Amino acid sequence: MSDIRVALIGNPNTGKTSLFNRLTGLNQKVGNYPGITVDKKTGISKIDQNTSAEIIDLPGTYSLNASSMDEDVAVKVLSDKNNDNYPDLVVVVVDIENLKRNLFIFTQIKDLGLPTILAINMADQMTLKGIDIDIPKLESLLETKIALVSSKQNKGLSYLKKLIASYKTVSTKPCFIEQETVLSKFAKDEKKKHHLETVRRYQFLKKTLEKTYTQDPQNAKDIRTFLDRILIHRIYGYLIFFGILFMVFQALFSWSEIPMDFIDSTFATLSELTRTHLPQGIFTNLLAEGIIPGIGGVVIFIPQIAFLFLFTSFLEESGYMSRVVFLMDRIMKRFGLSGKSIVPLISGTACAIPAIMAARNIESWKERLITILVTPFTTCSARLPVYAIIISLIIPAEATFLSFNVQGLVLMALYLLGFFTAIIAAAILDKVLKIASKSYFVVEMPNYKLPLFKNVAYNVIEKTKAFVFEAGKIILAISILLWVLASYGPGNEMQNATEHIQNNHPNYSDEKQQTEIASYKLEHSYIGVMGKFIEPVIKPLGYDWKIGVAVITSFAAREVFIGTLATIYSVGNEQESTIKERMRNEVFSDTKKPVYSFATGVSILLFYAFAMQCMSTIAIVKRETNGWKWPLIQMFVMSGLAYITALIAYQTLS
Amino acid sequence: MMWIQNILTIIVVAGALWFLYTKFIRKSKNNKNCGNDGCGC
Repeated sequence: MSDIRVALIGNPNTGKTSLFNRLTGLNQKVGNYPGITVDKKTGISKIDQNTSAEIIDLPGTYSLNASSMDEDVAVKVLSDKNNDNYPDLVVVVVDIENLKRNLFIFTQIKDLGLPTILAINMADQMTLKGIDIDIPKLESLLETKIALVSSKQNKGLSYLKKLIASYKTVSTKPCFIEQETVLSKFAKDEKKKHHLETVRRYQFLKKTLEKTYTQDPQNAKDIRTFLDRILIHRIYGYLIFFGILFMVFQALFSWSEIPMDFIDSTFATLSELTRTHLPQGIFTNLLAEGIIPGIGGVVIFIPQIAFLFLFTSFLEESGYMSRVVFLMDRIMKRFGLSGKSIVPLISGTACAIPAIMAARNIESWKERLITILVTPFTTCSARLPVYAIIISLIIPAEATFLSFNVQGLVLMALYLLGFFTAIIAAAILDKVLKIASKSYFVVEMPNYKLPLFKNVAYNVIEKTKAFVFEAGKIILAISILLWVLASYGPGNEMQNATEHIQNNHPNYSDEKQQTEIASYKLEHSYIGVMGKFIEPVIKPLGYDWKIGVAVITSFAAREVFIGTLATIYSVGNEQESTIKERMRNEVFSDTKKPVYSFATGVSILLFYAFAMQCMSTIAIVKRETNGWKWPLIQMFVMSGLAYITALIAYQTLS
Repeated sequence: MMWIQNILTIIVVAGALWFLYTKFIRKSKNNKNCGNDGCGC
């Protein structure tokens, strides 16, 4: 139980999260699917020997005008004394270089009559940028206490904690409220009053900072200006962005190959050891053919997912991602999307669920709806396992194009395909949807900084953990059920399998007979019956009934696809082999041709690029759009598109 | 020993079924913190 509840608030990119990490360390709790806040984090900070504080990291927001979900959350928490999260003290985090803009929200919070202190972050930049602040004067003008901190260099935190501990002495007087009466005289209607208030607040801040803040412009000519000129350039900006993307996907494949192969073979050995060392029986079979391959199907993708988030966290932390948002806004506008849509589209590469929720801060309903509908096209991390294994099956690892790894190129092409499909779909929806709306785009350009290892590590560990423990649990549970469905079947066909094969193929060798028996049993199991039932629909796409079963089960979540195949191919297979080897050796029962040919591989890749194979996304779209209409339209359109493109691809290539 | 293996299998399969049921079918009770505690809603 903590003694003080502190709300941490500030504009995006003020280093609020870094400060939160510094204050709370590992004592954090992160909401998975936020309902009240877009992304709510809480943590406990030891303030002194006897006091601890609960720190609430409120969403990064520019004002308390409640024009977006983020702002609405902040208003609710700070203005409602009965709110569970109502704080004893508010710490407003501002960036030393953007004081005027960042202080706007500070003046609004002061108006609420809450004890509020100011944490001026990135204080380490003061000398470098030639900044000088008269702190006592600023404290008196803003009716507050100020701590100069540097979350990057871990400086000023003890003073900040001291201020937090003495929160009862912090002034609750507003620093701006006297303007209210002036505003009322000038403006009658609410909108004009609101506009005037914003202007007056900025005028107040301008005057305040003129008296307290100086910056030597000579020192301000730094590397940031130089880098910005190149990185958001109309031509070089895009070239550099695609160059970075290209390098990321090349590295993703080549770096994760060795750990993935190691994990794959370890689980194959583990399965074999279980089978040979444990007493024979049904549970041993479940372990060797269901549980171990199921867990293996999750763990194998840890290296690729961890590398992907390592790169994206590094780009985010360095300040480059905000430049990408700015760069992409030029493209976005032409397709009926807001510049803010790029945030869901980029975060959609991790998971569509938080990405769709991130669309809440888009004020215009039309742009928000379009963003929600097209975000599932971006390549989420759940598609990565499917892409990774199919690409490695249909494209040789040693294949190069202009000395670049072709596997990496194909993976990058699939990511771009998802992104551009989302953009094209947005343009179509912009024309089709007749909803009038207007919106504005503001993006904060943070300073470039060397990413803090701790923040990058937190991000990578958190996202990888989410994949392993959230998706992993589903994959494992489905693997167990699949094992049951693949091990038992209707009628006596499965029991008579040995007799049937021995009678029909008496000349087969023992090994061949065993393979045929396993195949016969699987075909007559419950799962085989289900697969056979849908086979006519999926056969034109180049899939056999086993892939059909994987397509059905992966409707729960895309990553279940590989886990399903791993389980199906393990049942009755007593040879020690990896998932990849089993898939590579798989042949059609009638033609004896390899199942995973180039044409089938491309067909699967395209199917998963477009299909809405994710129950959780459907649920979240239903919640965000407040009805079943949009998620159902989205599901049918995406599945239809997936089927048609996969069909065309297979029929053309085969 | 076979009966132990049978019981273990039943427990594991029932656990998997229950997990999938709670994850995808059963509606979670709405509470005011729903959405912040990984309650699955």
